[in-house]
Amino acid sequence: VPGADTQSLVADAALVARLRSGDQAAMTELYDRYSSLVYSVALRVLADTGQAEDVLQEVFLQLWRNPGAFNAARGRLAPWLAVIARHKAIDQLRGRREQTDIEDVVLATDARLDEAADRNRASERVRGVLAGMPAEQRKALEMAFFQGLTHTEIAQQNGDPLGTVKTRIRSGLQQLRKAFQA
Amino acid sequence: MSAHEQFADDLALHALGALSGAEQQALEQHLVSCADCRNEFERLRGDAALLALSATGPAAPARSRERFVQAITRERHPRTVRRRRSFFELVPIFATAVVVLICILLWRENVQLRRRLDYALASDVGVRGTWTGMISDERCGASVHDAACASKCIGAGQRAVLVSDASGHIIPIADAKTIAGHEGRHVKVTGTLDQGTLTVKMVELVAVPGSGN
Repeated sequence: VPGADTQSLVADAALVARLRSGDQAAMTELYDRYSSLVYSVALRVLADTGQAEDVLQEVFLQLWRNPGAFNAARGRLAPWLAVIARHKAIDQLRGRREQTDIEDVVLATDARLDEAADRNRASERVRGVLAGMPAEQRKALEMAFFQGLTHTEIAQQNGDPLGTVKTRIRSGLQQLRKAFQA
Repeated sequence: MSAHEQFADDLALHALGALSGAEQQALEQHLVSCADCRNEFERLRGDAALLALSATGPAAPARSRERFVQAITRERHPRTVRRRRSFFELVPIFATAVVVLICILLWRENVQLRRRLDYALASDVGVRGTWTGMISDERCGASVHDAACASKCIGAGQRAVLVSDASGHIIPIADAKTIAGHEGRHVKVTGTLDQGTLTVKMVELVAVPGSGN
């Protein structure tokens, strides 16, 4: 329902706005909405519950300390939090200092992800798209997203030509976009 | 092949953070000047973020929530922490307070002085002192011609007055007998000014200012 989606979008932005004045209730509300998403991404990357909990803590503390880093006019909170979690988890996986400034993370998507039901539907759709891809293509996308590998590293590990890896990744993202444009 | 087509594959890789080396540098340089590619890059990042939804797993443990709530309770929000002011920041406040206090004191002093002045002017009671001036009569005032003129006018019933040297005011004298013999003369009078009338206690001749006498 477009109306409900807009309402939720406003609610996310309003909650983030309340963080600017130190509203703890708004912060716990956002945590309750999106902690599962953030934790799932971190756990998938790190395969370690303790480290995933640390990432979960860091992501929301960073939002608490710097709510201005999320620009509601330029994207939605759910994918933004997921991408921040993915960056932090990969940095931790690789034992490196943080390489991404969260204020630089700007992403646009047509997918509705604000309500829990929206995210469940979107999650099923993404899994469906991935299941429909050739195994090599799915593997290349997952190695890039969840392991933070470069296309060169993916090509080396899988024994594929660089050009093939590039094409698979580009084509894979196009398929995801189409699935949410329909 | 246009620049956009050339970078199409790399944009997808970059959105996943899977580009490196010279290719990454070349693409980032292109993104600085190409708004279309920047927009496409943001969309590809959004597409890539959808992959996060495939990572479904167990919910975050309840202890994580407790830990987080404790952390934000313990950690006062930066915007709500009241910063302690330094001494130098307080100087203008103190200076303003002092100026305001001085203004209030001066205003109160001014009010008191005005009241005293009004009272003195209204009552004009018993001001003792010495005045110098010319003895004349009420009609001639400062234009009295000589002693004979003044004596004649006062004798004819005009009220005796002192034309003050200091202010030029004409001050009525209560009793003409107290200045008898000094009509038309320059004198120093000792007495009391009461209700605008001078009661003379003592009178003596003095030289006219600037006359050399």
